[in-house]
Amino acid sequence: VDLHHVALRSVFAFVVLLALLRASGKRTIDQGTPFDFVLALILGDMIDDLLWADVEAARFVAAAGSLTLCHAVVALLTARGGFLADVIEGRPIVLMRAGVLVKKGLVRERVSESEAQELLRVAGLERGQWHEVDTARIEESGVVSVIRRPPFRAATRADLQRPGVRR
Amino acid sequence: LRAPFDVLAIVVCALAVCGWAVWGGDTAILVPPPEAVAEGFVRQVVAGRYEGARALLSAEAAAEVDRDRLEQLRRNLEAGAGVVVGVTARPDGVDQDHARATALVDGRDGLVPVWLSMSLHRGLWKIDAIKE
Repeated sequence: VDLHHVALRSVFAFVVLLALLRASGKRTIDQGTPFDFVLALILGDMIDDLLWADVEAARFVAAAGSLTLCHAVVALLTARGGFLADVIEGRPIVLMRAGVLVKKGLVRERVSESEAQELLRVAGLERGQWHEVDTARIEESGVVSVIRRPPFRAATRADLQRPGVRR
Repeated sequence: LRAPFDVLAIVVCALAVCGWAVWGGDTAILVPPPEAVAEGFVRQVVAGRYEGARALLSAEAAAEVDRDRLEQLRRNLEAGAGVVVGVTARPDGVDQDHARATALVDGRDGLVPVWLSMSLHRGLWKIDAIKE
């Protein structure tokens, strides 16, 4: 296989994939949910066949285009929320409530206690700070979000306007 | 709401580029070159995927080369090369809309060549003849 042919195919694949991913939305590029991640993985595998000329470029375009189109349609449907969004993307799972790990959530996400501790540490919470947590969730994207109890969260304008607060 | 239409527009544009390249005489960049077709064909035969292999034959060749012929080819290749560990191919020459390529079947007992001649059919290389 000639090197300049490989280079030209690479440029073609790059331009097509870049255009498709930009059109399908920023989430695919950021791999926002497991679904986005799988799409990025499949597209990454498909490019291999084109680079080494195992398939014609038109087939690559048809396959990559169809997958990206499905993704764009599904993303549109899930963006409206509701039942379909729950089925496709799942729902956030509560990992901790009022400073205590929620066993049901751990089991549902198949996360052990030590893994939960690690996830919370990555989110900036040492074990000694667990009492500060109101709710910690594993979001659809796998990221852990933490909401702190009022005394421990950053002050908001509403806090400053409470009676008895001196400015 | 625009995203699906944008994706469709990109697919149409990319397919138009592919069509334009083939119409302009591209026989090796956006379509698999003869050696890639030869390698793909022999890989399919060695793997026993005869329908996939027959898809790479020209209409005339496909009328003559049936499943039994491909099964026979696979047996011959395994008899010569032993357990197949890989298939490679090299181009033997391109003359406008005709090309020749050699696929090499690498096995535990040795290397067995398969010579293939091809011609362009609607912008794609198709195999006309197989010689062991």
